[in-house]
Amino acid sequence: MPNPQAINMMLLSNDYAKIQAVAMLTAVGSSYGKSIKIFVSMEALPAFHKDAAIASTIAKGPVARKIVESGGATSFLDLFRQGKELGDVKVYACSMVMDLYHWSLDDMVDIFDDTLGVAAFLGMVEGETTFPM
Amino acid sequence: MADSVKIVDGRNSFCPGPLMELIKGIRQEPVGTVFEVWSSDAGSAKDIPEWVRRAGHELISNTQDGDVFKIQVKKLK
Repeated sequence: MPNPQAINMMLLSNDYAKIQAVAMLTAVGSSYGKSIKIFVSMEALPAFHKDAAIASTIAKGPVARKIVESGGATSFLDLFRQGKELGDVKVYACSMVMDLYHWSLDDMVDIFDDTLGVAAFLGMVEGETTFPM
Repeated sequence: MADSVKIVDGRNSFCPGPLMELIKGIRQEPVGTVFEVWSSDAGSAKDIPEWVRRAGHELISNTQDGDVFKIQVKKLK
């Protein structure tokens, strides 16, 4: 049944600003008791690879560089972890991108609950608010 | 009085860092605990009261002391 309190996001961009924004929304939304599902696909997924050389393909605009240089921002990975600790947060890796690169969840950082196709994700979030990022 | 207030020092951390520190404290401490968040980030002074209202706790005060915003919050549930 659709949950009117749910916030779902499709994270598709490798733009640091968007990934950080989704992580912030996840941590704070989860603390309110909102159910959050995130589908990570396309250019966003490499940002979550354990291999720093792959993860560093992430793009940083002027604001993102300022955030990193400030040293005062919590990393997006830590924000996702905090969100998961606080409540009902599920993060899914797109199976298409995983297959393209022959990656498994063991290759990825420890925030994913499963791999998923777009049909399965759409089924999960049917009738709920879902934002593409 | 001062020793009954738990200080959450979120200075030099940007949004949502101070809020996340407060949330961590609220999860750990019993109902009735009063927290005072210190933040050098003006955004948090607006954002934390909104979180407190939505999360059902009590905003006791929100003051500025030089460059530091001090937000007192009582855990209600």
